Amino acid sequence: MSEMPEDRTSAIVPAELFTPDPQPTAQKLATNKAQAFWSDVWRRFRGNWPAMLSLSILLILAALAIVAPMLSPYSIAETDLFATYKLPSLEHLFGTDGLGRDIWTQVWMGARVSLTVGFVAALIQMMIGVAIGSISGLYGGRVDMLIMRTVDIMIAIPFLIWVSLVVIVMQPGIVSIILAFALTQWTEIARLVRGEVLKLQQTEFVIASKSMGAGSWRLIVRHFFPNILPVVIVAVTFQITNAIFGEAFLSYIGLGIQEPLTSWGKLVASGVKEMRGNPYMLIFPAIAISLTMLALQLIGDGLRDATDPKLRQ
Amino acid sequence: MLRYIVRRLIIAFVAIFVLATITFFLLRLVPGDPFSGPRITEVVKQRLQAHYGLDKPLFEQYLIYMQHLTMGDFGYSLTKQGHRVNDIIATAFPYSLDLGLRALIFAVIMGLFFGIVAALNRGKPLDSITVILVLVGISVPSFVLGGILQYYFAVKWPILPVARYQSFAHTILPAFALSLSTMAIVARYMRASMLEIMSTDYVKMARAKGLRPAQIVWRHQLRNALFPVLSIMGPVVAMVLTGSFVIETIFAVPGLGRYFVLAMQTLDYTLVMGLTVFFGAFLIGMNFLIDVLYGIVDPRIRLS
Amino acid sequence: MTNERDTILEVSNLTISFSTYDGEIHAVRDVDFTLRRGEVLAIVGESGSGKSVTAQALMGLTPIPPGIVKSGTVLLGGTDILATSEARLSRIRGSKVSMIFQDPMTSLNPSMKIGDQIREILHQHARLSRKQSYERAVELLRLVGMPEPERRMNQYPHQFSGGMRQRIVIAIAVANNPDLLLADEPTTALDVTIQSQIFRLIEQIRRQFGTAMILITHDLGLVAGIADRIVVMYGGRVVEEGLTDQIYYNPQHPYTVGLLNAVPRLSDSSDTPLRTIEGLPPILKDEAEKCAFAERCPWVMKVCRQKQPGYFPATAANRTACWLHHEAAKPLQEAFLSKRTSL
Repeated sequence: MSEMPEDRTSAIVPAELFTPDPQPTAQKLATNKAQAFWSDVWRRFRGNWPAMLSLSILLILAALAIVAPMLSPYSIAETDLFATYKLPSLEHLFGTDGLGRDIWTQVWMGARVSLTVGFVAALIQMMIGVAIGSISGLYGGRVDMLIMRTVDIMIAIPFLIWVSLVVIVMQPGIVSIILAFALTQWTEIARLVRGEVLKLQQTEFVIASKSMGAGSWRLIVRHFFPNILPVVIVAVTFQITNAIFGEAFLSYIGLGIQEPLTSWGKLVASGVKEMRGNPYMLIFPAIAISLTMLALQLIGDGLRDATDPKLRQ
Repeated sequence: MLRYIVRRLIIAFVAIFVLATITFFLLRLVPGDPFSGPRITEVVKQRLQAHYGLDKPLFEQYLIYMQHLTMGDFGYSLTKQGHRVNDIIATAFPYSLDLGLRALIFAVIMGLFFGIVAALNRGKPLDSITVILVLVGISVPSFVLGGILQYYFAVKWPILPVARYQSFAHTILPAFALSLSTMAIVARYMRASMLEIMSTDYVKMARAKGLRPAQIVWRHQLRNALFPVLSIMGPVVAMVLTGSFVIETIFAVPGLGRYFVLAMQTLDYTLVMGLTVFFGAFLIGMNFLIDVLYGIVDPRIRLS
Repeated sequence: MTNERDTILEVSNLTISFSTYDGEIHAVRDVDFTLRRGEVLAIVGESGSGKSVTAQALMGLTPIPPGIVKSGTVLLGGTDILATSEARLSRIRGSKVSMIFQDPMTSLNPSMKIGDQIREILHQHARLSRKQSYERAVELLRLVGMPEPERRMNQYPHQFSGGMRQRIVIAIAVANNPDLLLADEPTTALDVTIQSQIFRLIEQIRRQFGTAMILITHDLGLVAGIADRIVVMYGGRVVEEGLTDQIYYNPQHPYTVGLLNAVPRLSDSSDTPLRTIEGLPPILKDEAEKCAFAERCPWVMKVCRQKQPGYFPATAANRTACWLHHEAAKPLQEAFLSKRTSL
């Protein structure tokens, strides 16, 4: 047996302390499980400074997209042939293009389009993906197999090709782009949702609910949604980046947003052409789009880490 | 193992079949009549008529179309003076293949390298730099990166050729530009994979056996970290393929990607459809090969 | 006292913390114990009691960072593990001391043949030819009860069941005939029926080679047959230490009593509720001056919440960190000793 470092046994301790001290009645651990979960997620996300920074940047960009064109003295169609190719100045914060149009206004009007396309497309994808994934997971069997094979085949085709096909058939424009994305890229989300649903089906509370007669709809709404939401949100965040990139690509090759609207992709396209003489025309929209995609990536990563059950103590 | 391969093969064939069917019906969905119109010359119209059987009922047209496809006949282009799509593919594919392979090999090797270095130097500056580069590679769109590279290295400082694809020097910029976003994804995955392996029990066990760090990395970590990366090779190949659309356009490389973009811009429907089926079949084939490779390398599948 | 020549492991003052997002976790606090040649010591405690961290430290496997060894020495055959370079440690690990981990599913490299994994530890510490290491590996597999060892040498981990995998891990651990074998919850991840098989194997190895062992477990019921001495840990500290028989039949710490009561008995009827220890294990963040078990102890006194108890020699060859054994607590101590439901 080892030496005792200090002899506490003979320490002078007042005798009255050696009386019983009954335990206080245990407080009920009141937890609203759902609330606790989301506040936990938020707390972890908050600790992730790149993600928080990205979130702020995104909000600022969105705010500028809404407000800047309204406050700008110029409109995007307004040409001023006396002020073509002007460098950034106090009058034109981002300079002007070949027709004298103010680039600052164009960038923020373009922001409206690009961001809208991104978010709306991702939102529709989410609805379709969640619906199909849930059905596939819940009904299982033949239905599941059929749906999953279809998904496999759809995934085999790269998304740019899908999107190009749909746009070319539906005529280019903001609506066709959104639909092109929404209708063809829900596959990833559907897969994720199906996986989660299958996992959840094995959990005991679902089996218990079923044996108590809960119908499928009730199961879906009450139990599945809160559990699949984290995974879905992370996936949707990444889908937004895909949508923004895809729109930019299409606009770059001329099949995206049409006049009189503009988008970041269109602006980058004309910027690349003008790079030799007027690099500023490329810089601002390029930074805008890259910053947005970067911010979304970091937010997506941050959300994924914040909702990862393995990292929870 | 055999069952695994056969199943994958069947899925591949079905996928190509479905893809061809979808493109056929999509073509018919275009408003108006894609096969006529002011751009299409009379000669071409005749040829199209004969080839596609445009006067016949829809189902028969479908059969004719599928028949052609199984024989590898992709039809006629609408705008390129009625050239056969096959001829276009035959001339353009070698360029794309060359560019794609260079970019892919470079991206995979460098990506793995950066991923490993970052994971082994976790928390240290080398890791942070890699992570930042990866993020930039993923976020900045390829056409921006490509445009910038072209500007700086070919126009501003005329070190390399601006466009075309005629000598080794010509391949450098496009291949590099094409490899960037793929390199970033591979690096990211490899880093994550390595980090995950580092915290596994068998790595702890290796330490408990008395192995030195270098031995552990080489014998236990690398091999197992490569598996997940292999599983994303399919999407990686797809990325290189779609990236080629943009890069080939910027650098005027006469490959399939550029033809696809041109076909879209000129609304050359048959060419778009033909190329789509070709790309699709190519990717499905590549995915199949990668699946087989994965099956060979992973002992869990190989021995079942 | 201890026979100096026979002691192969001497742990003193071991204090290890981890720095995390949430602050500093004091995982191991002032732990000491010794081990003699051929002796089997069981370290028993709940998750979070610090037992696994202690075991890892014995091989110098504590991840630093985030771990910090704040004090202490681990003398293995005279060498202080905590003060030895990695290079020297890698010569000790796998040869003088080896470890068996909890989950056999993940302890083995999935893409390496198991024969190679055994030969790896052989080649690391001994100059053997390929033929020699092959034969030795086959011999080891036979020793741990693996049927058809030659054929199995070329197979991969996923082709074995959990119990078989753990046997392979044991084969690897004893390959170089270590002086000390650490087993961190070796059967927790296995079926109950396999558990006893594995323990019998461990016992057989101990008899055959005289290897000293430290068994880490949360289940007091498991180690009764094999352990010579038992160390009970709670809240990062040793709360009771003694010979096996004494711990089982004459436990001196309320926590030990709680652990023993928690083991269901054959004499229980099927509707007897399971006996648990109320409350949750402590979060080891604060270093408050009090007994860590105070919140859950049915015998808690005022002094327990104010001062950390020292080690009282409650019976012969035993020490217990509990104020009940202070002379001023005699009446309560007698009540405690008589109220313990005996085994």
